[in-house]
Amino acid sequence: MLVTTFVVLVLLLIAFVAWRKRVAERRNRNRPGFELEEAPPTFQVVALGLQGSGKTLLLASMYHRLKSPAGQSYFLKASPDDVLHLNQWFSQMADTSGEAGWPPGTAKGETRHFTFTVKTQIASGVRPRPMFHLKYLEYAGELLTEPQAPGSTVQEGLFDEIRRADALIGIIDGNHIRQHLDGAPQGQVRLEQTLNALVPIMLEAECPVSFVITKWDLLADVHPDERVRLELVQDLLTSNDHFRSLVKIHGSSRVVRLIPVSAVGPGFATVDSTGRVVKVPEGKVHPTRVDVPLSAVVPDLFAQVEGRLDEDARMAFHAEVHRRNQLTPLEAVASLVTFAGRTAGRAMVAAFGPSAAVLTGNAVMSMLLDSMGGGRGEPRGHLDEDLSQAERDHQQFRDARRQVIEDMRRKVAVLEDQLPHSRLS
Amino acid sequence: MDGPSHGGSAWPFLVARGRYRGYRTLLAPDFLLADGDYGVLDDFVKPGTVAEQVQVVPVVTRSGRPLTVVHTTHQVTAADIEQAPRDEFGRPLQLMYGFVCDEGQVGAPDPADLDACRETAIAVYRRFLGDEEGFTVEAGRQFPLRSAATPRTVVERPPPKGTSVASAPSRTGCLIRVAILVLIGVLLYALATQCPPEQKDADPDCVPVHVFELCHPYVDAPPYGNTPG
Repeated sequence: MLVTTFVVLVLLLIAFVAWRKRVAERRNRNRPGFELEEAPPTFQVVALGLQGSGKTLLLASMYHRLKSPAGQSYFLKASPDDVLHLNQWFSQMADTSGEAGWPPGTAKGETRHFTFTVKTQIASGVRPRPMFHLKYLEYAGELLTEPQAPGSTVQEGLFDEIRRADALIGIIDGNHIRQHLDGAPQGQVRLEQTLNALVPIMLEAECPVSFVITKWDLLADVHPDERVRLELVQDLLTSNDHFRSLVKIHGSSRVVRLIPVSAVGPGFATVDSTGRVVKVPEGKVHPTRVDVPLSAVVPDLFAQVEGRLDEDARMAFHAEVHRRNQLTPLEAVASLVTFAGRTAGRAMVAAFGPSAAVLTGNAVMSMLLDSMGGGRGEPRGHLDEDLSQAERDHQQFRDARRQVIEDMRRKVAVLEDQLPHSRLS
Repeated sequence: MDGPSHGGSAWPFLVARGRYRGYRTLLAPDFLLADGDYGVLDDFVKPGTVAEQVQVVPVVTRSGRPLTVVHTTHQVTAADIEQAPRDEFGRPLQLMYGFVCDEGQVGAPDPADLDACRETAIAVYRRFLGDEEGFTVEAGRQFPLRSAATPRTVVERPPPKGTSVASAPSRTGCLIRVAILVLIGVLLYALATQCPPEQKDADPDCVPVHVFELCHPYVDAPPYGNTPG
């Protein structure tokens, strides 16, 4: 009897264990197992700009420029609903026929995120792979300057987003600069308003900040040489005490940029006798540098993180960068986990500040370390033939991601080369 | 189920931007003004993707009051305001107007209700354009609703973003677990009260022993006798 009982107990135990295993398997069916593949991290971008400063058109034009991999290795993919909105804005902006005007301003109720997936082709015949996401907030500019109506919560939501941002882009209306340079009091007042709204927010930011001058085409006749033109604008902006102190404070630990852009390009629009910006009949859209502000986000964030490390952490960081290139992809994953637990790894995470991207796992750290590596040309400590197919795929993925970051850096470098005054710090 | 009913009431509202000032509520139901809750219109009213598209939006104010907001978008014409319908940046002006109903849901809004609201909205908008800086929100007066309204059904709020609800175990799973535990319990009890056959044969008055004692490794050892240190 005792033996029978024991056997029944063992059988029950086996049945119970088998049942638990089956339940666990069912739960894990949709979860990724141990894979080399890294989940693409998300970086949040907030463009700070007053109403009418050109945020929406910059967004639409930027997407239009980056929706295909023309001129760079990457492109942006958005949801069908987002694409619908972006295309609608761009089409209306580009339309010079009849009564087609500019798109109407963004209402407070239209506050929303546009999530762009940065994709790249890893190998021929293979579908483009997502590298990371850029989440861009679109909102009504008056939320930055006008008091919130009783019972509204949208303004609080905006400031929460600003606090969590991985990059802040301050939008300055080029038309107001133009008016100011022309000696119109209205231009001075509006520029003051803009800086009064932007500078206090940006002063508190821990993430990289840059300034974008929209409607750059309207300043074309300020000076024929674009370098001189930007220098004049920089002088004007730095004549503002608040702006100057912001650049001084942030410039000590990070890059502060001044990026002139035009969503429509030269010759498309002009200012009429009433001071309104109107389209030129038969004008053609040729956006200028609209891709640079978004392309600078990740490289600037990474540069800022590296700049915040102390000497020891920086040395450990560079040693890890070098080591990763000598390791097989599988070994690199294990090495990353070890590095993340060390003092240098923890210092690196802390250097990201309140960024939400770094909390999503080791993908951002892997991305940062790889982006500092030598790329395809650097000799590796292993032969591709020795790798499994999964490891080779992952190696290709990392190479492609490094190339994307490299292309983004190149865009910024070209800007700095063309317009040295685009670097404020 | 209650069918649609007429005879309810509603309040007109208007959300719009001026030539210089940004989007804001210009006309709001008097009760929302009194409650300091009219900002809910700023948050939820947005232009339709198609011109004159009618939207019916159930909303809850910050103080928890459920409302139905029916609205549409009207592109301002020169005839509406007797001047160029553009803001200082050259962008078109648009009115997001409609009515707020606090008694039930509006399934198919009657165009006559929206027509009446548009007339009111344009009149308010003209006053706003006349003095954008000094303008204060006007109180919309209650009017009899022609649109059919049905009693509001309670809609559960979705859980906040970023949270997930753990899946509850199925009823079958629970029953299996309980059955296994009961069976194990019964068997353990049976085991505990069962005498080894050889002992039973030797002593018919065999006293059941405790499972713990059967299994305890130190059952024959003196207490703490073999413990290290």
